[in-house]
Amino acid sequence: MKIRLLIIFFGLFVGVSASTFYFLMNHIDTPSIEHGRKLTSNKTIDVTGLESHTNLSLDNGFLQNKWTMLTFGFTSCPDICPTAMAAFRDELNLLSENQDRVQFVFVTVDPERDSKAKLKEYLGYFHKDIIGLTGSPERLARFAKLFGVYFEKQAQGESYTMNHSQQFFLIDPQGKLAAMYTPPLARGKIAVDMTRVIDRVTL
Amino acid sequence: MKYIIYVLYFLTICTAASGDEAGLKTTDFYVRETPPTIKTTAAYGKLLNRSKSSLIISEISSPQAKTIEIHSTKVDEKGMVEMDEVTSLRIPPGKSVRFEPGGLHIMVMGLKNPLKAGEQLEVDITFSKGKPLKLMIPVRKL
Ligand SMILES: [Cu+2]
Repeated sequence: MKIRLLIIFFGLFVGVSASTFYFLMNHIDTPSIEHGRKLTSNKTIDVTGLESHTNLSLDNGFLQNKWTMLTFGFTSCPDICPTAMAAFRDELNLLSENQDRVQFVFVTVDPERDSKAKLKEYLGYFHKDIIGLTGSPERLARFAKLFGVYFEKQAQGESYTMNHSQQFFLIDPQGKLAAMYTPPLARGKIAVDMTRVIDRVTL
Repeated sequence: MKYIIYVLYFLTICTAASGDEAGLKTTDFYVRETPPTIKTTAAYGKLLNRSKSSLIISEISSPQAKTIEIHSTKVDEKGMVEMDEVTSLRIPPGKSVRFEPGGLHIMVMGLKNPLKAGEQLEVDITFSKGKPLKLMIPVRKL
């Protein structure tokens, strides 16, 4: 009888400690990321060698002191990418009060067709602040690898499409990967998370 | 007054019937407006087969675009997105297919002119048997 009680208490103890640990891991370490999957990576995201459609200088200061939401795509993608860019537009509008502390980035996986001029027209249609990045296919492939994703051409003559990752990646103000979001997300979820991480860092 | 109501009623019946050809019912069709310089877009909606036999889409085209294909967007467990052409889409009797973002879609390629909200895109669908379907799909902003 005593042994049984002891086992129950031990079980309770393990359960409570495990859930406390889990709670602390999720709520103290990253109290703010609620709608995405937290990523712990010490890899610094290196943007050198890429180019922006607005000709911003892309040294590693590009990701500093800001929270960046980044995704991959191509402008002639009719289904997934416009949905993603409409989401970027909506979240950017919701984040207008914090606009100097966030940036939204679209990285083309189709540099062959997506010139800087095309990125400007395409992204501008959604929101003037979305930043388009491009580069050589090799540089872009190496960049994608930092996020654990890749892309490839699906040959269909001149109207080929690109297979690519649909994830949204959150990069912290030190240029490190912080979280990953899987669309489609209800409107406002990203803005809520980003507002919280911004507030937390200010504290 | 009564006369006007009758006319309105008659008009309502007419418009409702226009989405109902060849034993097919179409609902909620729209095509996405195109950002500047972009010649590719996608159309969505629901197609219900009300006839007693299966319908197989054998051809799909538009006088406003070079190519129209039925595509299926697939996302794998790693989040990789791929679009594949669906060459013969079959709709069993009494069943419907839904074209929706992130899934089955009517892919429009090589648009001759950009599509702006308020305009329409004509899409002609030929089935392996029965009457062809002409859809006038309204263009919508994202
Ligand atoms: Cu497609």
